[in-house]
Amino acid sequence: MKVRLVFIILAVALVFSSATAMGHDPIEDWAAGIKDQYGGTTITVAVASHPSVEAFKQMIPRFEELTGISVVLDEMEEGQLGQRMLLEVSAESASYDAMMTAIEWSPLVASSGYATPLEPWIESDITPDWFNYEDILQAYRDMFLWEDGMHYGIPYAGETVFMFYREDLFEEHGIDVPTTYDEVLAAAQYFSENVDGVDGISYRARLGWEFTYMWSIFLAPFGGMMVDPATGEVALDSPGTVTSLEYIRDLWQYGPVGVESFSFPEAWDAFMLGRAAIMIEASAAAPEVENPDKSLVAGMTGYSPLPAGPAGAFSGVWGWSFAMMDDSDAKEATWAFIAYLTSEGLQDEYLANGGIVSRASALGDPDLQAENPYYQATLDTLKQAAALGELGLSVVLPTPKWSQISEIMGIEGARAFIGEISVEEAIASMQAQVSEVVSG
Amino acid sequence: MKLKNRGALLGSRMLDLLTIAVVAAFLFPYLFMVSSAFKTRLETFAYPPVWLFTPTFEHFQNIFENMNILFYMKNSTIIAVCSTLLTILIAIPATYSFARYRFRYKEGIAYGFLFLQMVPGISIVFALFFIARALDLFDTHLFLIVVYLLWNIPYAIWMMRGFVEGIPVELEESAMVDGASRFKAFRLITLPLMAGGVAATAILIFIGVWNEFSLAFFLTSTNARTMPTTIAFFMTHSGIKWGPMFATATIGTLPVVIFALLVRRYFISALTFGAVKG
Amino acid sequence: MGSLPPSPGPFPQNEGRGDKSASLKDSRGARNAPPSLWGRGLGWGSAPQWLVPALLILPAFAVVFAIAAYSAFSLFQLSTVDLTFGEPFRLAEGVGLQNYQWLLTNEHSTFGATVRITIHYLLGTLIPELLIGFAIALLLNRKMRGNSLFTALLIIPVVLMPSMVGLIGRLYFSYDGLINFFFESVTGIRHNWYGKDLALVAVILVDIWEWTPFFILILLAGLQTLPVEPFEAARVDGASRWQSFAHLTLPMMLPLILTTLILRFMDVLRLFDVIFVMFSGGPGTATTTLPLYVYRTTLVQRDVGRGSAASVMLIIIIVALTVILIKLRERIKFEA
Repeated sequence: MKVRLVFIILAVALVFSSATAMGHDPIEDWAAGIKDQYGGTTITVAVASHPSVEAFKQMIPRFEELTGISVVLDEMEEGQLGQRMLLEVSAESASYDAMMTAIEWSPLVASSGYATPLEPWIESDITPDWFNYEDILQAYRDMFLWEDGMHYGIPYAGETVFMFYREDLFEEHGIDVPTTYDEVLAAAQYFSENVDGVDGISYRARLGWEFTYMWSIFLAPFGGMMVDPATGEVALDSPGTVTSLEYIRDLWQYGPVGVESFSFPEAWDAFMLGRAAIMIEASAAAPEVENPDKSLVAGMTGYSPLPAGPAGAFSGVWGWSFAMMDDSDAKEATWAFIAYLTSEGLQDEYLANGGIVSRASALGDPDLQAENPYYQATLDTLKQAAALGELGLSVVLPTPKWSQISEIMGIEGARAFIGEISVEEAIASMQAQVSEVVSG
Repeated sequence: MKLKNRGALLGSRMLDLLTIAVVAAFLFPYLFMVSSAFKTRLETFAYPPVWLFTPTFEHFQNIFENMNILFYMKNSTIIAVCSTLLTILIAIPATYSFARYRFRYKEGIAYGFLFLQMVPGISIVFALFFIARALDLFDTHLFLIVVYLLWNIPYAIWMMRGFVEGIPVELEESAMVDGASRFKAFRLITLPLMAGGVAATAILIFIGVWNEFSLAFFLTSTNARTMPTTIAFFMTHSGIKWGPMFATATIGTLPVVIFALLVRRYFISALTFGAVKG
Repeated sequence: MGSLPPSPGPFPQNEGRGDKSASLKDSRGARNAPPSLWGRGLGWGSAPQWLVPALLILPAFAVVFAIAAYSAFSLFQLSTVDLTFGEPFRLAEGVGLQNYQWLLTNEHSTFGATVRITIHYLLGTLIPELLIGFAIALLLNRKMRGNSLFTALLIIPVVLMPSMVGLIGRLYFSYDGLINFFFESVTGIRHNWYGKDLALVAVILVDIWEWTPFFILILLAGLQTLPVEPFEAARVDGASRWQSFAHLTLPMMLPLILTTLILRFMDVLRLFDVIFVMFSGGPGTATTTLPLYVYRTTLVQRDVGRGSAASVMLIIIIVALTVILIKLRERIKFEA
């Protein structure tokens, strides 16, 4: 009896104390309002296997507790998530309330009406004050901007490509960090010829989208392009495109053995295990490189924006966002979920859980910059991406047909890469096939 | 004479050793994989490979606590067991019919079954997706159970038919002469004799369903997802999670391996019939 | 098995040779040709003879053909349209047989190369799997302690999930992987299994590891049920081991070998998980087999029409080759 009494007193005390706390915490204030109106709703969200999702998983129980909204995650491998999305668009029915979408898919979900424009929701009363949409880097926000002037995704995991290099090796051998692609080639050659067990440069070159991903950042620096911004015509046969393809093929000889089949995990592991002096890869690799449980080069790695080619220095942006499905019948609860997880108010928790930085407030924070040596490189590389945008170019064409184009470029390019066909044949073939896709 | 025997004995010993070596060679990659489930990530990548290390159990803890692997195992078990049982139930009468009756177009129909079994799942995934949506059966165990029948039933018929044909028809006849009905003769004589073949067929079908990926992926979502689709948890945007993957592969094979060990004699002798005659 | 009264043995030599013509017409179980008793088996005096067998097949027929007929029809229909995966299916435009034409004649189509790679892959997996499997089955088919345990353990590679087998292959065949460790220990040389020359060999080796046990299990089971008498007679006549293998074991095993080949062959042309996870069909197109090509074209390049057309052609190839194997099997069966 006595024990039970103690429990009741404790429970009352707990309720009371949390009630007083509510008056002070803006997040709990907001959540209480949401709970009144939308508590008891269940939403289903399709997500990819991504570090941001790992971070969200640790944040969702509190969201559920505070708002009374239940969240069911359906986690898939990225490529599979894309196929699931395509299948749902084809069938013209959504079985999810929200979906994690990549920049590559955004035009498709926007133009097909599968996703709903988010402007009305960003401006709605449901959005908390501590969400702060403007704080998300504009480069990332605009990845999800469609022709109708509306945004179809709230980005929370922006990505760019920069250069990773082994500070210790460069210092030891007295080599300057490359600022041009010629110097990259020379440094890669030097290390692969002079340091035992270390190859020059690691990157991904597996056929398909991964080849296209990597190749796309080499196009503009060599004066190449996929589509001519002046005419809007497919311009894969421009001279710069050929040069850029030849360049990455030249890099091959200084890469780890087997680069031609490397997907990103192999490319990262080669660098993380100390088997490559340079890596040109996604910024998403940086937290892994700095993780001493996985990486032998944590704390020995420098980060720099991409080197310049004959036509200048450029990089690109990629990234992930939450899109809300037009068919969802729980849009209010879904939006509350998206706004909560991607807000500035929860950003510290998100980053601490291993989330990917996407907001100006975090990238510019001196403490965080000191903790994460790649934040500055990220900011600098984003300027290179902006420079690409000013030319009217992008690494991902803003069209619903992007994945088809990317697959064609990625197969023909990979065939030329290993010498199955000549570069000229590959370029001619992709020019013809991509033109057919674009016009069809 | 004695010398010759000794030579034969020696040769036989050599062959024994060779057998053990070959079996070991086949098992080695698997055993190495199991050992990797207890290694840290950096140990997994070590070259030359690490043979001695302090085992870690964090990967197993991880898959049970964070990845909820038991939920997917449960779904896989429900679907594999139900689909296998249903297959056997439907296939036995058909098998009997093919094996014991003579009728027009018999071989044509039998080959029809075989050819339908060849349709690659990926080719008809659209069609199946639309059926599932139309019938409101998307993401249910039931739909997968039924869909797998398309491949399982023909397979079962072809495996078991040979087995039934291997059982002398005279046994049933004599039972019928003694006054048993045909069904009773089947139930009392043929069915017990073909039990081994049924078990073998069932195991092969069970393995097939247990490992099927494409259809399981496209036809389920959060409710009925199966084990093979959990591969997504290991192929992530931040690389491949080797430890948990090895741990899951280990756990995923154990039930079938233990079962195979328990029924090994049964399984093998029974398998013969179906294959030989099928 | 042992408890069965005079075992007929599952092998064709038991079928009456004089009955050849009847057997050809009804290849299976001529021996079990129903005697007159069967016609009135259920005592349905007036029911037509075909009714009972038809009723027994009906459930299987209904389930399988209901799903398959719709699916096959829908697949063929998709192969004659121009449709992008990710656009509503109602937007599909009929283009007749143009998809087939493109695949077979367009200069940018890699369909032909894919068929060549598939043939290499088929031969590269099936032949070694059969030979190694048969050899191991012969080894295990001796009086030896533990061979039933070994046989049960050999099932493990078949049980492993194919996508995980692919991942494991990807790790073990990497330049710093387990396979190269053995090669370096023995020959002092490491190979680039990820390269265009060896990638196909790597996926073939993985397939051999994964599926040879399938041959072992079935062929061993076949060996165990061979009748003893002919072998004893041969030994009395002074035949060498090799002679009795060549003249007795091999001919008796041939039908079974072909059956196993048919089952395996259908799987090889249907499954692509391992290759997909290991190399995605690369580098270049070095490991793009037909089923993988169908997958990539339909779901990744999103060309539903061409992907479906490739799929229809894949099915035609499977059926055609299977028919050939079946015919071959029947001929061998009756010549044996």
